[in-house]
Amino acid sequence: MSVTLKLKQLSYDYPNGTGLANINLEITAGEFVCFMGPNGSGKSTLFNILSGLKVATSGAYYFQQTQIDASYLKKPQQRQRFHQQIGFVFQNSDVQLFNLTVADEVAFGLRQLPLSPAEITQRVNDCLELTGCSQLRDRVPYHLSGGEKKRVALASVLALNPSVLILDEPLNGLTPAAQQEIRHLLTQLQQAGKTILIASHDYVQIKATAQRFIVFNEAHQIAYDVDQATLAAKPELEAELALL
Amino acid sequence: MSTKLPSWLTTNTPLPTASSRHHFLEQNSHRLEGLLARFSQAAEQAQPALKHYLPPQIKLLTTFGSVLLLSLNQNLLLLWLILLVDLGLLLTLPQFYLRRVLRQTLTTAAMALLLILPSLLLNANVWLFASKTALILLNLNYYRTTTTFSQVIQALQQLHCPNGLIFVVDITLTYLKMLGEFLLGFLQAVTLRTVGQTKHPYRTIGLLFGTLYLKTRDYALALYAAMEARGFIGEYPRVPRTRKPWRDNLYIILDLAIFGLLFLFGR
Repeated sequence: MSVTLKLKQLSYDYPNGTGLANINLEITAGEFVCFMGPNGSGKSTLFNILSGLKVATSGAYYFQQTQIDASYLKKPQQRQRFHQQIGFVFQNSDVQLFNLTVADEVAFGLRQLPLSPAEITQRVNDCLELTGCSQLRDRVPYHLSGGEKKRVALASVLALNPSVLILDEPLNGLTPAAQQEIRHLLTQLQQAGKTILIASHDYVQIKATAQRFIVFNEAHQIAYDVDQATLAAKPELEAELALL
Repeated sequence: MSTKLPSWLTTNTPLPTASSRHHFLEQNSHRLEGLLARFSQAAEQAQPALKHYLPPQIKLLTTFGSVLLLSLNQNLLLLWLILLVDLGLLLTLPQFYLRRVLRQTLTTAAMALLLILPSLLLNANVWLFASKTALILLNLNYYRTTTTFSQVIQALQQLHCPNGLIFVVDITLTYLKMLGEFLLGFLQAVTLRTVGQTKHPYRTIGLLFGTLYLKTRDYALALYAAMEARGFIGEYPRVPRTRKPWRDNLYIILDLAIFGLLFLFGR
């Protein structure tokens, strides 16, 4: 499989300190990677960089062999093509939803593309069905519960059929049944060739789903980068992850 | 929930794109991010704190006094004296703060100069006005850079300002920060989901501000309820005064001397 995301000596500095320090990482197309680590260790900063919301202070970020930097993101057409291929579900779904109905929310990105109304409707229906939001289609997103907002945010991202899905703690606020359904959906998407990057604090919840675990330390660096099989052979490491 | 993925979702073929120009919201999101970073005073928080510096209430009083003096007075000697005191204060600042005050003062003074450029060409006396403006800006930038928002609240408490006023200032600052962060999140979400030509960009702006209004209302109610739950009854307790009053006294004497000189020379 080809490398879809590559980070080379990547660092990011905030005005009040380091966000990420010397990150080297390669993620292959179709991988399911879980990012773990203490609060403030750099997971959200990394996701912001991968989605093009922030630009690294130093080092390089490549998406499908193209370097994503400030000059690349400056050109509207390039930036929009890039955003179409990387879907990002925020940790706080509240700020991700701003349309008047759930159906409008899911159709927001699709309506900007040269697609027929029938195709837009079909995609909206499919995404609502997949995420279990069909009954919410005419509701105002602002008045939904936290878990419902998460699912609508995921549906609105899926509608654009991105090749990489970035989800910042997507299972928080969901009922155990909804968590199970979302995990199942993510596994299906991964099997369909999508690259899934997820941030989570709950190792037990995600251990059967993710293939690879990347753990950040408090120095904003990668402490471990291990696959599922290696983890299963190291119970002490598993115990450490369960406490994060 | 459906268990089978639709066929379009099982391929990684990107959708056709439509040609588009820069979006108003995208263009401004980076600018807003910079503004919010400045507003949260993150850079200042990373610097060595100006803990043993002048207390905020003394700075508030003297800044107010200096600005008043500069606005009312036409005496050149007094301007020189105020400049001397200001430069003395700047010398005591750490490098980070010194650079920031000077950079902001030079930028804002240049802008002010640009505004009065036509008068400058017609009337040579405008230089006095320009110098006074630059000095006022220096004083304001000095106060703004060396004082955090919580210190402003502390200064108002020390100066026995009414609790209602402190409450309004405190809540306004909190709201501004919170709403700014929400707005930034919205702008980032719009940026990520702008993948082509938005047919009605102004409608999106309307939707964002509508949601922001709802958030403000809910946040205001929740915040007040949380404050009440923690025992807030509308009174702000005063923090103990500084243990090193000689600095404050020296600074007050200097300011009083300048005020005295105003009366002496200003007649």
